[in-house]
Amino acid sequence: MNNSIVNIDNILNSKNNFTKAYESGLSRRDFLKLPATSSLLAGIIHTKPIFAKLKSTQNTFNKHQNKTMLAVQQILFPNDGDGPSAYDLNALRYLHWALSDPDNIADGDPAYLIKGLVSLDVFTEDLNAKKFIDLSINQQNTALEQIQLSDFGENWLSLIIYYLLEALLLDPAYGGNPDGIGWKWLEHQAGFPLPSKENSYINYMFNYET
Amino acid sequence: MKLNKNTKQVDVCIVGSGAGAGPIAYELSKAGYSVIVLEKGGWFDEQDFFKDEQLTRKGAFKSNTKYERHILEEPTAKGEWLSYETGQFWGGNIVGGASNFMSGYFHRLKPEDFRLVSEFGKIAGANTVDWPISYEDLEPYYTKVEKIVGVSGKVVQHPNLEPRSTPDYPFAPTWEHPIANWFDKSCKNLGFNPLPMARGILSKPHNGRNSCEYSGYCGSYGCHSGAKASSRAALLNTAVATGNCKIIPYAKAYKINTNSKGNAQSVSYYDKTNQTINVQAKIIVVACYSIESSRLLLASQTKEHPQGIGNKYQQIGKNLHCCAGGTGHGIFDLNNFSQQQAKDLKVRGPFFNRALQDWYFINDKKTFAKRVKGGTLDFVFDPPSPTADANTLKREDGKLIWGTALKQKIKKHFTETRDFKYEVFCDWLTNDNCFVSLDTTNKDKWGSPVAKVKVGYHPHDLKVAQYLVDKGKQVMHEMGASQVWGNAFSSPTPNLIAGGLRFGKNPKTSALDADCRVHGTDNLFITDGSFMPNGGSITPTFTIYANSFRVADLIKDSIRSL
Repeated sequence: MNNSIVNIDNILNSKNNFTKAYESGLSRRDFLKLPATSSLLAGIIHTKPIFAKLKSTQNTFNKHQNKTMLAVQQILFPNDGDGPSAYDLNALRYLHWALSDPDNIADGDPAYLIKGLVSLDVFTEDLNAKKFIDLSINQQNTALEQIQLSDFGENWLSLIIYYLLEALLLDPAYGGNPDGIGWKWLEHQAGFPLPSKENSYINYMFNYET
Repeated sequence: MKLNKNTKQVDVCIVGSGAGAGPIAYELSKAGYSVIVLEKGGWFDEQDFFKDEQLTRKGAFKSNTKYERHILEEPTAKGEWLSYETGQFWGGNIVGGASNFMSGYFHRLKPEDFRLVSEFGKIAGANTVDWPISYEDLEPYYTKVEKIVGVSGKVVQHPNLEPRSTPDYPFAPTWEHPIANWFDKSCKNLGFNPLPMARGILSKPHNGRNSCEYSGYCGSYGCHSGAKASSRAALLNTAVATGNCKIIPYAKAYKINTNSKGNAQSVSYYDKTNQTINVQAKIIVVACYSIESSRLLLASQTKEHPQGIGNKYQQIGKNLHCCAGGTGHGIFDLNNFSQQQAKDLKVRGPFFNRALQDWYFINDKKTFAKRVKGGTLDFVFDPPSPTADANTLKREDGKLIWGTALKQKIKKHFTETRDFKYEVFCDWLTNDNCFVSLDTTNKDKWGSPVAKVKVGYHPHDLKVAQYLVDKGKQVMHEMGASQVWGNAFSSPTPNLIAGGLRFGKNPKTSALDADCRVHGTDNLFITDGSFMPNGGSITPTFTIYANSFRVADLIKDSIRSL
């Protein structure tokens, strides 16, 4: 066998238009089970970051955690004079909605994000004797640069960016991208008909859930 | 006969509702026969198909891997076999099947595709055979599909054009993208023959279906107008309207039962509440995608067929093929073009509809010792998946980026570049290492063994694919792309799997006879892509439709005597 099967182009751009990696039929959880050398694993950059599931009963942020998440999102997607910021995109509100999706709960996302928020304060209190939200913008950025160096930190930030980009580009029906602000900035032409709150994808997930 | 409430009786029972099933339901119900279609998934229609990226990202219309999956066995670079669970072969598990989500590239096969061995000779390590029918046998049915299912396009003379009984397609081409002319000019500069590509998409209303709305969201999305030639929109709706055809959604067929003569007698399925129901039928048709059709026959172990129906000579599931080929990309930096050209490149809605078939047969002594079978290049803009695209941009040299760096990278990608893509389609040579079997341990939620799919490939495929990929790169450079790349694949194309139950004259080397009847039975037919001994160098849906209409006529002939 002369050809490497780990072929990213195969997965990301496979031949027919409906076989993108995110549509490979595997849930993100299924990726956990894949052997490291499988061709599907190469498609992982299309998918949500994966991690060992955390056992936690807490699935919603408290007030301080909300503030911290908002601050983190603003660093990741700031108001820099060109395009909407995380705040403009309703990224936090969108995140709350996304974390109520049973699939995302099953992936362990809420607990994972909360663990990261708690760890972030522990980290900055160690380093700067302050909670994350009490740091200057520059210090906040530096703190995120540093936590990125750990696998956990990298996964955690990657997951927040994953949801941020959903708030930027998914249909406004899901709570982010208000009035198509993200689409307008990126000159993205949406299709039609568009979903409404009453016709979200969640309504269609019952196919097969007999 | 007295029937209990868990037994139904009908003339024809069809397992599956995609491209192989639609023509049978349409023709037999119109001829006055009673038909039941068993579909594993739900029944959705135009009103459900929003242009919502989440529907595809979340696999809303596909089997849930929690309940059903496949075991894939693929070769590693070291020549070992890697085995793991996958859901990649589920292409659309609702009424109409994956045809709801296709792009609808409708190329016909060519006469030589029906006789590869006679035409090109045997290739060591490949199981290629000539077909038991010829292009001339199928030609009237391609014409029928063009008219009934609705194919739009324009015939242009070129060296590899297949013979046609009609001068042109019944539907004019869909609205064309402004850069199609630009492509034509570049190809002519290179001495290539640019072809308009026929599509299973209506350019004008037909049989209660609207014409295309040109939203720019086609492949991978369900069609809101009914223009896309899905089995559901184009055929099943008409079949149901006759009053003779009943579609049963959430009906998971798990066994075909046989009588003392070894003929198919009934299909057993689980309904929505997991009750077992039997459908007794004079004719039973299986068309639920290659892998699953083979699986159903293998799982139907009866007294008369202890190794699975028709498996006396171990031909069930064998000679699967997975569409060889590759893809290539040209990235166009809009800053390098005139304002008008940049504006043209940004247009979304109309179809690109261009293909090259100059190398459907390759006669190039520098690369191949003799004339070989080549393939097709289709040029396309991918349907939009903006959120998925943006997610590919969040790293630079493997490291996450954020802030202004991330925002500007995303902005440049969306507003200053366009990714123009081509797809290469070649024969995946059938071989002893590419087949479907039943997994010994993994079961679906109903307790049936899942299919194990082994996908060994022949190195010849890669050589042919690379030859064509390189031709596509030439076109991209000529058009002025700033970055060009392309790759040949050795992995399967999950939505273009065919074979597994190939037809032929000899029961020792084929699963079906020339009429697509399972060897050893009088009344069990297979009408999805399973019958194909080779896939041709195109997407198979058009051919599946045509062959299913052909088999429908044969069934009409034989049902009278049953």
